[in-house]
Amino acid sequence: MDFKTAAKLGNCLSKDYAESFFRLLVDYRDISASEAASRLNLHINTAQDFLESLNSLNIVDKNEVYEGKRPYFRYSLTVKRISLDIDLSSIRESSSVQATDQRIREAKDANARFITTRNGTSISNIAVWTGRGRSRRERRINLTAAQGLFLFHLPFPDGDALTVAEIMKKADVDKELLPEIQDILELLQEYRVIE
Amino acid sequence: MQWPHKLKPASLILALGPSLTILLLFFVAWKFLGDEAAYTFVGFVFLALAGISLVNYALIRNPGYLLVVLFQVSAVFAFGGRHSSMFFVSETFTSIAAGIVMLCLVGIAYIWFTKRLKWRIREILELAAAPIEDTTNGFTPRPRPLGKADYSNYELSGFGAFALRNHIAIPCYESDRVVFVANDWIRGFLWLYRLRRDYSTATWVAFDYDGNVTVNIARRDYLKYKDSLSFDQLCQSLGNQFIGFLELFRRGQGIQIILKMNAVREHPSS
Repeated sequence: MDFKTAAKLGNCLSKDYAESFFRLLVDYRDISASEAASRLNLHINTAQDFLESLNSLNIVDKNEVYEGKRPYFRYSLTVKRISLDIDLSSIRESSSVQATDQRIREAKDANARFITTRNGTSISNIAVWTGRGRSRRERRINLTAAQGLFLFHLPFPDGDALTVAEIMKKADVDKELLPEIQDILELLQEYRVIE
Repeated sequence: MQWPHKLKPASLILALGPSLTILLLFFVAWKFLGDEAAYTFVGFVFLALAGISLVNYALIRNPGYLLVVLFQVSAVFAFGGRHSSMFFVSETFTSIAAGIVMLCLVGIAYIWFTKRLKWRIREILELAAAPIEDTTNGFTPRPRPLGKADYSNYELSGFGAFALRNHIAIPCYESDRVVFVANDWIRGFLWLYRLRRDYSTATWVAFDYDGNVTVNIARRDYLKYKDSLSFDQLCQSLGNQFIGFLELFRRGQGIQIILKMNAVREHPSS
């Protein structure tokens, strides 16, 4: 299950009336939005939206029926079990990964302030300024220990740019922590703090 | 040989300001309150300065301050005793005090010319800038890790005392490192009197107990250079200077550090 589908399902399950609604769907062979709304004392649009969401997730099936000449939909449950299964590694793979052989350094005149840790051997957080004039805002990013060590060893704006792998080696950061380094680098590139 | 100065000329206002202010206040007191009040004021000023110099000696352990204390105490009676009954002991005592003042002045002139009591930040910055020709700017207000150096904790604390005694830098002893903070005389004394204990915006070189060296150059010190020198190279050069100083100290050649600084030929009042 991809993350967006899981988020949508989670949203449905988190409703106050979700459990009662599912009980109805289990008990009834099929049910219309107005029947469910009257049974659960909900607004018809709420019930309609909930059922449409479940339909988009292929949890309920939707059939058009006629009462006289008026068409409406009846919904029936298609699954007996719902499982929420997300492969978290797929999230990492889907993001744009910074190459470890890309040469980087701090950008000239970067609108950022690096705040060192109390013992002065690492960076604890970065304050980045965004916007201009009255809309100028400071965004403070707290760093993990590995990120702080990495940025402490980031070459100066006029220094020789180094590869991510070289800086990690210099900073003595474990290779396993590469994803969190890549994450902060993406953010800093977005704010033009590194080049 | 003429030293190729890379710093902007120093302002002498900071160095001469206190003396000129005292002189001005003396003339104001003399004009409006008379001889007695003016010379009593001078007596108290020298007494206060003698107290401060004594504290400076206790903190820094530079014997030059003892000569300054002797001069200032003598000056209390030599100047104050002339027209102020508060500081008058006898004519003979005032004359002896005046004689000591004259002798001390010779000594103080020697100390001044040999820069024994000069805070050396300008020399440090000049020495750091000496090998740098690249002017690519690149200032960033964060420390630069320089690499490893070889020293023991004992040598480091010995060098700390030496650096403080010779006004090279103030050592700040932390749990895992010693930070050498280079300051001008105002900030230096504020630090020593514990009125300022944050070195994050100062120029410093830190030696940790694992041998790692870190350098930081303050924006205000970087702006003292005439050109926008390569900041990366400047930090590296400053760190190397301190590693070199420590190495000289370890070999018992501390005097070479002083000679190196004197070779810069900075103005004694800068």
